Amino acid sequence: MIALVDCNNFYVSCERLFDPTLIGRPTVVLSNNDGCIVARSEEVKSLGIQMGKPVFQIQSELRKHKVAIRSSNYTLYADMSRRVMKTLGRFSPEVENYSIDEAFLNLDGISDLAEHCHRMREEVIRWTGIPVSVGIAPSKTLAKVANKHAKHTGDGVLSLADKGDQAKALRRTSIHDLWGVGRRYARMLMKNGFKHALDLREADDKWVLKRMTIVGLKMVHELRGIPCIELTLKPPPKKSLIKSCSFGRTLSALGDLEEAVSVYASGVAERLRQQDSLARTITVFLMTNRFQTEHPHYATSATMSFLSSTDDTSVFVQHGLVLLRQIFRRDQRYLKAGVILDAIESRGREQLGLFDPKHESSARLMQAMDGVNQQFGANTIRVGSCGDRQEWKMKRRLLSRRFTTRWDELLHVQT
Amino acid sequence: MPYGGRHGGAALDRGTSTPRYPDTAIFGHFWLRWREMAGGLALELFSLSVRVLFGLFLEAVLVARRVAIQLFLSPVAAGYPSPAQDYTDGALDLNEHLVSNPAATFFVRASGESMRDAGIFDKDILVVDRSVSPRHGHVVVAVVDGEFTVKRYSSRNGTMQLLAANKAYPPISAADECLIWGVVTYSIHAQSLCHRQSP
Repeated sequence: MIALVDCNNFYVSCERLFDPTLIGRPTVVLSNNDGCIVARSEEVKSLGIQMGKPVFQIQSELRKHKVAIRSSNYTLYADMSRRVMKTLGRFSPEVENYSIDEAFLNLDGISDLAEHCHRMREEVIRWTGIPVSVGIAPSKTLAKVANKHAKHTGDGVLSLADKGDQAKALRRTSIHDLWGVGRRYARMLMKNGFKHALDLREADDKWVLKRMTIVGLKMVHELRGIPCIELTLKPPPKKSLIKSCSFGRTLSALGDLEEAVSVYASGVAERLRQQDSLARTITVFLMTNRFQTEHPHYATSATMSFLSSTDDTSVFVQHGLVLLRQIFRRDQRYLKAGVILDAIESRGREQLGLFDPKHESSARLMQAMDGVNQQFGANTIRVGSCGDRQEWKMKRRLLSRRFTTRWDELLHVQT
Repeated sequence: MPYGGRHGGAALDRGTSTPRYPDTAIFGHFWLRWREMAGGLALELFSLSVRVLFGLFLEAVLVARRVAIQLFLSPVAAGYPSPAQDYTDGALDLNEHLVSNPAATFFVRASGESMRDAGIFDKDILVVDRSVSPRHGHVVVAVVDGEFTVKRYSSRNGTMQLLAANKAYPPISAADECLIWGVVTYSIHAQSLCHRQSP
């Protein structure tokens, strides 16, 4: 049996743990740059405010209902996620951290599943303060369905171990809400008369294989209770890494863009080293605001490859800046930039070049830099072109503190 | 390591005339006499292959000896071993002492004087463990009317109260909106201001 544990309104729950005045009050968390709504409390959901709505469109509605607004504090959420996953580890030897707020658990061999999961749920809430829902089923896809319905049961745990219960739940699940059914497949399935997940479960294997490939067929089998998708306990290293973010305002000066590209290249290089890999290709892209109407939308990018793969921040920054100068146009106002690393190989398996210089001193420098930055905060040591003003940085006006990861931002309690 | 030991001795014995590989000489001697008696082309070929095989065997022995010598000599080259090397421990880590359940433990900073008599002073860091069930007498972080507070938890005679550890502060009866956030397991108080103490 597999359980999917999902944190309820995770970002809002994190904010509420450290600010009890938010409990019971409609609360939203905004995306990077305070642009859109990315998390809503139950109160906000019942107000009918949609996920992903740009804030400026619903300003008055938010004010009318006295909705509390927070910028996204990913440092805090990541640490709370780590705590939740660690607690879950006590209840199963195999935990797949599927996303920041979801985990699949292997519950094979556990006798009283419902009791086990209730205890798990209570312990996560008590230890970490984060409420979770648990869906139990023979396959991952069914566990997702179970979890969705668990949110509306009183006790937050729903088991679909029984075939009859599975059918009942699938009848109440729309095709759109199925795990692995994207917008395009949903449209295709609707056109062919599939409305509920149950219809898809009964679909003909050959037809599914033809229209939705082997991936779709696996999903249909999973709906029938045959597990086809295994737990990914150790995520494979990423083949491509991207660091990209909108600016706090549009930029037209090359100097600002150089700072931004330097910061993004440094960030993505650090992630590359974290997964112990090397990259051979770098891409820099720029785009203007898609929603403004005065000028046509302009997006551009440039790519280059190195002779041999590397993980050296200074190499990425140096070449990133060369690419930036190639694609930069003086007459544009840019809103977003990004750096992508491709052709990623694990360290030790990389293709060596004939004329490669030895990079040992740079490896030790990078190690020292990562060490300092981990201990004293990101960008404590950085490449000079990252600048020190970084006025283009994203807006996070309503940011809570990093209560669990910074000594100078601890929660204050009045005795 | 027997190979290394024997070979090491032979190599150092530079003054003597003992052949380095006596096995080869003795074997070769017998072999020559036997061939005189038998003769013939087939045996000539046979001898060739035996010699090749023997050569390979000898090579293997020598390679094995070479490797063994390297292993034997290297610790000596590193210097006299520390007499303490079997007795070392890792450095003490305060986390082990203060945090028994990392997933459920949070650090918070206290402010105010209401818990002075319990040894909690302004600006102290409190270690709060949410996995501990609050019992009578525990110091807890509680939420009262949406505000955090630190008080001593009292549950005598079926009534729950939050008591200050300072006569100037009245007890809070738990009839009010009240929630226990976690149990304070340790408080960290700076005795002498040092350079790392942050406000």
